[in-house]
Amino acid sequence: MKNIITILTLMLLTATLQGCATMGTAVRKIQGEYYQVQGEYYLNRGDFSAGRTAFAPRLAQFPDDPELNYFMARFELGADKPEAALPYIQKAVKLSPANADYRFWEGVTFWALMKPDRERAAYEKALAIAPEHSSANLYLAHNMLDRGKNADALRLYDKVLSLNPLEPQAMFNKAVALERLKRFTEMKPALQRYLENYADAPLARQGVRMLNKAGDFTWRNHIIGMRTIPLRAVDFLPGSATLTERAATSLKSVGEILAEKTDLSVHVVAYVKGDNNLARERALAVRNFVSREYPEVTPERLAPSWFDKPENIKTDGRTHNLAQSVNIFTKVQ
Amino acid sequence: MARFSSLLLLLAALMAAPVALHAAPLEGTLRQAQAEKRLTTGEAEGIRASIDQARERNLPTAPLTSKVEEGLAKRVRPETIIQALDAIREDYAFARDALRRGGAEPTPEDIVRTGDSLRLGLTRAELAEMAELNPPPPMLATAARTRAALNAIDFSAVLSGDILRRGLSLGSLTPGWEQLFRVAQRTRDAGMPDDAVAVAATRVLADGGGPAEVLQELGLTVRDTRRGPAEATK
Repeated sequence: MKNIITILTLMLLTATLQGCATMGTAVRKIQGEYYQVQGEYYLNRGDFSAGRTAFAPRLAQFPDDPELNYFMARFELGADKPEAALPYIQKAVKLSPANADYRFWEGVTFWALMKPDRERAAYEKALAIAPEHSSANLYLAHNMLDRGKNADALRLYDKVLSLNPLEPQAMFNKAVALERLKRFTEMKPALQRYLENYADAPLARQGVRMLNKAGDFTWRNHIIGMRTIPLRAVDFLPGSATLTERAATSLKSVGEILAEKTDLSVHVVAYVKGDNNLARERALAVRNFVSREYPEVTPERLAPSWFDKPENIKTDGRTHNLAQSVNIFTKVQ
Repeated sequence: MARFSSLLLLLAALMAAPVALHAAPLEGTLRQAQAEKRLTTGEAEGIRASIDQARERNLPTAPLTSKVEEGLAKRVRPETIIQALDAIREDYAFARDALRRGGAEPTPEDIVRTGDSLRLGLTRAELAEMAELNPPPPMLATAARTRAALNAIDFSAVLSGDILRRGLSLGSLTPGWEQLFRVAQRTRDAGMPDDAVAVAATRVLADGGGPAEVLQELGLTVRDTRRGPAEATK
């Protein structure tokens, strides 16, 4: 009887301990999910200081929790303190070596610390774990481009674009790699594709300059007011003053700016080699289109002029002659 | 080299640090320091008087209070603390006069950002020169921080003057330009001269862009340290 009671007691004790362990695991799991939601909340808000304040006591309680270390690293890195971020992200990597995201952010931290070799190694480790990790592929490509390994960079950008065809940094920097490899016939469509999707991105102006430098003027930078605006070239149906649909889109951008900035006026200069009359019609067509689409923009704010000569454009010491073109730029009062 | 690295770390920390406009009450700190015999009654009075002078001139006082806290915590000699308070107060007064040149009243944050730049490496002559362009106070404060950080890494004063005049006259000097010194550090690391940074920065300012585009103009790529590329849109 005594033995039976002892066995039952031991069984009960074991079950209780197992229950506690299971309960403890469940609590930690729920806590982990809560931390993740909260950590992402602070990151999305860009409130790194509040994130640090919220996570520091938890990290003190659970110093070996990889996720808490990861979030602390992200908060420090977000606050431009990569030196403070490094020990946390390294600890997260050590505690959870198979996590590709932690390896990736370790790489970003090394970039911020200007340690390109260690940055590259971290991305390579991330990719050894998750070969399709888009961000690690992208930043490894950047690392390669920065060190002049243009062909390697190009291969990686292509991989990123196979995962996400509209990844803007990969689209733009693929064109940079192609330019450096002097593969201009491939560079031009790559840049045009970038500009068609991201014409309002900060890098678009540089993209247009790269295109123009390569003798492609399908896009032009226009100085409107205090800003440089990349626009698809204003073109017309052959031999006419009828604007193409693409040209209409560009002119609507100009019209929107003029409608908003009421103190701005622009010059509209049309060039048609050997046809003064057509040049005049085209300049007037541009003026009339903008005034018609934006009645608040009076025709007087678009000063037309025309030439029966090609437009001469200088880029990086070379002069390009465009037989037919339209240039729009701010009129200095 | 180690000293240079330390300077960069300090600079990065200062540039990243938010401007302290709210500080703990001063009296409790002073009383505690007196109770612990770290401060005599006369020294406490000297600290109070220095901060009162700032208050009477409508200058921000919270950073001064923070300075007292920091100094006492680090066991800095009281007379050194008072000297530091007087120097900060006069910097703030000079900064406020410069910021007012354009006719608009600066916020306390503008005054602190600009005044602190004078201790970070900006000269009064440089601040006065930039103020002559009559920019809005927040933009002049950005210019002050940007130029101070460039001075601290020994970026040519002539080049930084050119860049900032351009940004102020175009009105395109957004707060992100305070990070321009990081671009200069990175390009130096890649063996590029500061002149190249100045040319690229001037062009990007005319375009209305920021330091990330300067880096890209110079053939170097950028990483987003706040969001992963998957989260960023452009």
